[in-house]
Amino acid sequence: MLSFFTENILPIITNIGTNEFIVLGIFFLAILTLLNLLSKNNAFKITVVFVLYVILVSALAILLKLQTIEYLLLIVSFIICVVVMFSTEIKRNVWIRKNPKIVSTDVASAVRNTQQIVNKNINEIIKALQNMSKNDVGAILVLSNTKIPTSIIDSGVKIDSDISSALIESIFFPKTPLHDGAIIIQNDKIQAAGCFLPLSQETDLPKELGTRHRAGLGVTEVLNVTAIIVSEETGIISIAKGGKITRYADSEMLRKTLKEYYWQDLIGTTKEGKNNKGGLI
Amino acid sequence: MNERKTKSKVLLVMANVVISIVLSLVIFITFKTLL
Repeated sequence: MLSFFTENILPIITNIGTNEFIVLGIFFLAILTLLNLLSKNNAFKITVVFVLYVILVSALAILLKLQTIEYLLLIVSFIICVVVMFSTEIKRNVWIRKNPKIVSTDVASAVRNTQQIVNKNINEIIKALQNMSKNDVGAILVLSNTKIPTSIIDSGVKIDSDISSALIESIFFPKTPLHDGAIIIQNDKIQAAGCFLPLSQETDLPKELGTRHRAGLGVTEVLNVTAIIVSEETGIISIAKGGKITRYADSEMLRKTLKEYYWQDLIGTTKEGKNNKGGLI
Repeated sequence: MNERKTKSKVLLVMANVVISIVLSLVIFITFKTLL
């Protein structure tokens, strides 16, 4: 074993030149990106399996003297499996968050809210959520600063109305035609109601979270939005963002989330907003 | 609480860097041995 190491492996390590160093760097960056992606999504088991798989396959390849192409296929096939398994997360992490262009400039530039209007909107939303929570009325609100796909908007009814707690509560009142979908809030307007959202395919969700929570979580997995869900069974308010759900949201947590939406996510995306940010808060 | 969070994040990044170095070396050496 030791002689094999000194005869075959040691010369490779000692003879690393500039070209080899560049190749090593590329390998390093590719693996680091993959590991960062996995750790961001709490995929600890897959990370361990990946590390063990690479070491095992490499040892086997050397021992069985496999052809280079066979070894390459074994490594690449595993990476393709991981990419397919985490395609939604990759889309979210790499595409939506890293591409500022996806933030709709027309929505962002349309932001001319004064502190008063924003506070009124936040209070109206919180009031509606708390009333619905008290009365066990199921609801789902999507706060968006990105262009929502037309398929989602078209699945509901366009409203384009000012935000008011009475309107939100009326929309979600049981047995009304629009109560079973989501409200899309963009800026200081309720854009649409009764919208259908993509469902999350997450398998580890607690049993008490139903389709409404799955829809709230699902939309945050594919779009850079925040969803607020009120449970019909328990009245518990949950907040979903970036594919993660936080339950038992109180008024403070809701206020913080809504403030983040209005001041950081929304206004922070525009240059003008950045300049205004300090003065307005 | 925040300090602990930052610490664990730094540890996670360091672990990822170390694992990446080891794995890239393993793959590189295997390729060189097989070629």
